[in-house]
Amino acid sequence: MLGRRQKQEKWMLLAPAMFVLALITMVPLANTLWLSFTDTRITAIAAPVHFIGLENYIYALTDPDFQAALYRTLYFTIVSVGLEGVLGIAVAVLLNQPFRGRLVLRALIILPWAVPTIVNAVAWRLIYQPDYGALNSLLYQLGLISDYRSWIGDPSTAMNMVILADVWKNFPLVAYVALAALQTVPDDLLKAAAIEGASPWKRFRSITLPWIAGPLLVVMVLRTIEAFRVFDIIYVMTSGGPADSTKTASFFIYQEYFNYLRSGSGASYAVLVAGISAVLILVYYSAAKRQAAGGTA
Amino acid sequence: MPENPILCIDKLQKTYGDVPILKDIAISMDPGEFLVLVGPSGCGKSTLLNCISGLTGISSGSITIAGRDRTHAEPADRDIAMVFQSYALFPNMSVERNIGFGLEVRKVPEREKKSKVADVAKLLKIEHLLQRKPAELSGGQRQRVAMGRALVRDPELFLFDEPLSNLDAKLRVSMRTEIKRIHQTTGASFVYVTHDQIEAMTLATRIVVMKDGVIQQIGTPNEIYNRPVNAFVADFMGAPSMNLMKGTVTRQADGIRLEIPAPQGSTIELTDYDTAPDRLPAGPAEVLIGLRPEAMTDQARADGRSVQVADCVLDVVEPAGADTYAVVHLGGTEAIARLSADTPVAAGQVTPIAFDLSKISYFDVSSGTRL
Repeated sequence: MLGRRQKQEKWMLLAPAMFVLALITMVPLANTLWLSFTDTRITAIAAPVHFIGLENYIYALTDPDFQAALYRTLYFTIVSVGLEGVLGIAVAVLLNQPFRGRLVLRALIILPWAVPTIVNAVAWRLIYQPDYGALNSLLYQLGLISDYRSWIGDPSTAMNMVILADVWKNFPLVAYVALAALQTVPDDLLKAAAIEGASPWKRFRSITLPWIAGPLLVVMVLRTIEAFRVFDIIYVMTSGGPADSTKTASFFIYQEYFNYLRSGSGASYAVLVAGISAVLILVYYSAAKRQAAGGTA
Repeated sequence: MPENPILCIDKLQKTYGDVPILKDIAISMDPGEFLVLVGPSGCGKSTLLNCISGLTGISSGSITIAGRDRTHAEPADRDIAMVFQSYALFPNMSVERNIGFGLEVRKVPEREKKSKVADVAKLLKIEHLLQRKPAELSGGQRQRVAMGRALVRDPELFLFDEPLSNLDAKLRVSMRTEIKRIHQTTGASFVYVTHDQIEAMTLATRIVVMKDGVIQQIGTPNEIYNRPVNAFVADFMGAPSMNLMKGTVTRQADGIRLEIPAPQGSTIELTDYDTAPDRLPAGPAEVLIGLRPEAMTDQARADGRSVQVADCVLDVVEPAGADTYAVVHLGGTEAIARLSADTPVAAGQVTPIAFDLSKISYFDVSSGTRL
């Protein structure tokens, strides 16, 4: 047990760090929360600010455009994080097998992740380019398409194309974490399971996957949070278009602030998105707990 | 007629690249035997076990288990179970699921699986642990679960890879007894790898002593202990190990005359009346004379024929409770004599030591082979 003095000392030692933390995270958060209950606008001349209660929230929750943006964000998050997970694990399993040139390949695989998002977005915009893009050229020469297409100019394909670019950039992170975790799976466990007669797939499901579930979950949570607030790749590749088909929640909020200059209502959208992110994280963690407690059935 | 062997290994070779790991291994094991593979680190005993299990492929030769050629079979198809040094329990599964994993994989009906797991849990006295996770168990309990997982499938052959090495000394002894009891009650066939020669002696019905990938000797614990085929086996098996003293032997009409050099130019002279003289060179020839510590003891047991007395200078005296070990410089080595704890001895003292020559072994000085 800590004595009274020691307790005081503990708080005194923590105080500077907590003060800085409060300054850089709590103040903006509180400010945003306050803004969301006002009709603040970003204007050149100082306009009077009114407290308007829940009005912004009521508007936001009934705004069909915002709902559509949320659905798009959800779609982007689920599909891209899902693909990154599957691809990441698969690549990690491959890279965990002994073969010649494994070290080189392990080093190379991180490259997409090391590229800045903006650069990645520009590169993929070039790949998707309707007149001389590499994707058109490739698919045309393979005979899979008969005409060049505008992949990100078509509302029906734009979102999936952005997702593809995002997956390419981010699956290496999942692969790296999964690979690091795979290397800690004790050989004896897999040997024991093999002797007990488990097939490779059963060994993966019953032994390997539960073993790497913890670290994998952490990286998936990180990726989910990142994907849910996706902005930069969309800003560069499509600017939310065409016909709003890639307009995600973050982009919607950005427009509310900086195109329509309504920082009050923009803040209310932002708070809502943050709330949804928090719920997503909670869902993940409860799933993780179940996994750790029960294993796979 | 002996029964068909449960395990038959013939001309087995294993190489990694150009490095031979196992050389010309041949073992035939009867059902119900407790075969212990023992040897120093790097002797290939664990590799041999992995070859039997199928976890490691072999370079040439054959492995037959229960009459069926399993040389190239998958581990799962060999009808074997294995207990690992690390226990290799699945951390995300309960004890019950760990034990029943093999049955689960083989799609044994739920009720049958439950009753089999319960039977094994009862045999191993771990019924109360079935719902726990491996992390919540002590080392000894994990060991039991690992054995349970092996026992529940009732395979033809059980493989143990140093299963007691991770336990503390006291638990190791009690688990050793437990393993022996399970072997006796189930009558199953065990192949057991250890580097601990006491484990080998206490558990085995037959011991395989290995060194540098070559089988040195296969025999009952008694044979290995009393009639080691070479100086390596003599030295490796037994604690303290056999005293290997350089000495000169000369054939005489009534026996073999031994001269063992002692400090300060003196010599101990004994006559072995029991060994057939023609097994040894006509002499005088230098040989390694092997006598276990318990064959060098108090003079009370001397009879003047098999057990002869000679005075020795005690270099170091080590009381060990029931016995006192005395180090004597003989034949260029520090020979250990095992004296009764009641014998009053002190370092530097000249004490008569009784040599039991009926227990003597002779080895060639250069090759180490038994003469």
